[in-house]
Amino acid sequence: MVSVEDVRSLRREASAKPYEGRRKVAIIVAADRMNAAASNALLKTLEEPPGSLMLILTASRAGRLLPTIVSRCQPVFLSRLREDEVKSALIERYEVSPEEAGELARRSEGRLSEAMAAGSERGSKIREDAFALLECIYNGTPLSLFEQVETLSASHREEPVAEKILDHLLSLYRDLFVLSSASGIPTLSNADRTAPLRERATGMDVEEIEKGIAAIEEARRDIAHNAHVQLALLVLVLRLRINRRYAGPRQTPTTQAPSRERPSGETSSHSLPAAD
Amino acid sequence: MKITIPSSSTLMSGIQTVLNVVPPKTTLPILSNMLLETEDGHLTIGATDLDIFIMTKIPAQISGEGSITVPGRKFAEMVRELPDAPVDIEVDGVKVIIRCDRGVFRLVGISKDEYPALPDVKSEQTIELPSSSLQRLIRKTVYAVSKDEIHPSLWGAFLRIGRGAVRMVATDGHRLAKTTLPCDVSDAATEGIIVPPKALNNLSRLIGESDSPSRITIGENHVLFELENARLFARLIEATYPDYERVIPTGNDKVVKVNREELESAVRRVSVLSNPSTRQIRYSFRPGFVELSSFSHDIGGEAREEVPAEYEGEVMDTTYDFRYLLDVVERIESEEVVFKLDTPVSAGIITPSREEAEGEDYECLIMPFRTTEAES
Repeated sequence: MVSVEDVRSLRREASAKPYEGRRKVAIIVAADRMNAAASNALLKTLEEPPGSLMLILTASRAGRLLPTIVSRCQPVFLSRLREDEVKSALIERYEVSPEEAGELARRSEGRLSEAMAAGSERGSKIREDAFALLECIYNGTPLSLFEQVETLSASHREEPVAEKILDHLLSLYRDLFVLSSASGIPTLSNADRTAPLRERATGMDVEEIEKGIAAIEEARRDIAHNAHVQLALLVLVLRLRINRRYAGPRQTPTTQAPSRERPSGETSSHSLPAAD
Repeated sequence: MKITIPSSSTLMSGIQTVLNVVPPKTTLPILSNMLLETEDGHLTIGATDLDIFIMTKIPAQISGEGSITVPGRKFAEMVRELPDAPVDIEVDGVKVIIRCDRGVFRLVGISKDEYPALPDVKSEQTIELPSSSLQRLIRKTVYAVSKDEIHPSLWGAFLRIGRGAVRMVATDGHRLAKTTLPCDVSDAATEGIIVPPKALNNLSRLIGESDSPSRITIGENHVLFELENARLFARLIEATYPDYERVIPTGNDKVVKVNREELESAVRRVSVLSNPSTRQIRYSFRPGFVELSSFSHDIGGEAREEVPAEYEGEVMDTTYDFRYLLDVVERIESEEVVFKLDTPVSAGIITPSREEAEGEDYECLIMPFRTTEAES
C-alpha cells in the first residue's frame, strides 16, 4: 500500500538531482492500490516531473487508478505470457530445471512473477498448505480445520497469503472438475498430484465441485473487499465441508449451520465458540 | 590499514564533524556507517545520507594504508567515552580493532566498495570566498526557505555567483530574503543553483566562527564547498527558481527608520496578545512614531505600544505576521531598521540602515495581511 508519506518522500527525492548518472527512475508497484490521498499527492509530480525523472507506475487493474492519474501517463498494456514463454524464461533466466519450469509455468496463468513466487521455498510451502487444507476439509476433524485456518490467518498478517491459498484451492477444484467430467487423460494444473486428486474426484459430483468453486470465488471477493480474513476463510472451509457432507439437492447451507455438524466417528467434545 | 591518532579528542572532533549527516533511520543500511580512509598522512572521515556528503581530515600516523566503513553512531558513542590517550585503529578485512589506553574494542565493518562513491563534481570554475561571507549569506537568507509541500523550486535557497557578486535568495511566497556580497567573479559561472537548507545549515555549523578562505565548485548535480578542514557535497534541487527580481517593488517611497532594539522588544511584547494562529500585529506608521497593536479573541485582551520612528509621510496602517518581522529584525545588525512601503496591501521592504559588511546588500520582503477594518 502506497501512503501519502511515501509519495511525499518520493516528491522530495524527485526534486533532487540524480546522485550519480543522468537520470532517476522511480517505479511505483501496484499503483492501483494507492489511496486517493496518495494519488492526489502524486498528481503534481506526474504533471511536471523534473527533467531527469522517469516515473513508472504498474497496476494490475487499470480501472482502479484515478482517471486524473491515467490521463497524465502513457499507458503500456502488458498481456499475459504464453505458457512456453514463462517456461523458457524460467529456464534461461533463473536456471530452473526444465521439469520444474514446466510445472510452474502451467500453474502461473501467464504470470512470470507468480511462477517465480510459486517456485520459491515460501511459494511451495503455501501450495503445500493449500493441499493440506483441502485434505483437512475432507478428512480432518473440525478442530484441526479451525487450527489450520488460524495458522493461515496468522501468517497472513505478515504477508498476504490468503489470496494465494485461495488461488491454489481454486486450481485444485478446477482439476477436480476436469477429473470428474472429462474423459481420457486430462491436462491437470497440479499434474504432480494426479493420484490423490483422482482419488478425491471419485465420489464427487460436478454440482459439488461447482458449488465449491462458487464458494472459493466468493471468499476471494470478500477478502478483496476487506473482509476479516480469518472469518472469510473459516466460512469458506465450513461451507466446503458441509458441501461435502450434504452434496446433493440441498440448499447451500448458511454459515450458521456448521456448529450443528458433528460427523460420526469423531469424539470431539470441544465447544467451538467461533462456530456459533 | 593501521593508524594511530594522537588523541581520542582529535578523533572525536572529526567524528562530530560528520556525525550529523549519518541518518538515524534509512532504507539503505550502509548509510548508517561512517567512512574511514587513510590519505597522505591523514585519516579522512566521511558520512553521507545521499543528499549531503561531508568529509573531514584529522592528523594520524599511518603505518598501513587502507579504508573501511564502521557503524557510525556506535563508533561515535565508543570514541566519546575513550580516555584522552592515543587511539590505534587496525583493520584486517572487515574486522576493526580499536585500542586506547587499556581498552580493546572490536567492530565489524563493511568494505568501502559498498559505500556510495564521492559525488563527481567537475567544473572549470572554482570560486573563492571567505568562510565568514558564506556564513553571512546563509544566516541572513536560509530562514525564509519554504516548508510547504507544493513548490519544489522553493525547497532550497537560490545561489548565484557571477557579475562580480555572490547572491543568495530564499522565499516561501509570503516573504523573501536576498543577500548580495561582492566577489571577484566577472562572468556568471552558472545560471544559479538551488541548495537545500539542510546542506546550508550543516555548512553553517561547519564554518562556525572560522574566517579562513572557502571554495565553491558547482557541478552538474552537486555543489562542493571546501572549508579549511572539511568538504561538503550537496545534492542540488532540480527546478527553475522563480523570477524573484520581478516581485521586488522598486517604487516604495514611504521610508520609515526605527531603532532596531526598540522595535524588536516592542514586537515581542505586543505579540503576546496577538492571534496565535495568524500571529498578526498591526503597524500604524505615523509622523514621528509607529504604533504597534494587537488583540486577542481568546482572552479578550489587547496591546498597544508606540515606538519612535523617523517618518514624514502620510499615515499608513498595515498588518504583518510578527514572526516574519522578527525573523528579519533578528538578523539585522545595524542600529536602525528601514521600512520602505507603498500601500497597506503591497509588499514591504525591510533593510538595514547601513552597509553591514563591505559591499553587502541585504533586502527582505514581507507581504502584509489583507484585512478588513473590523478584523485588524
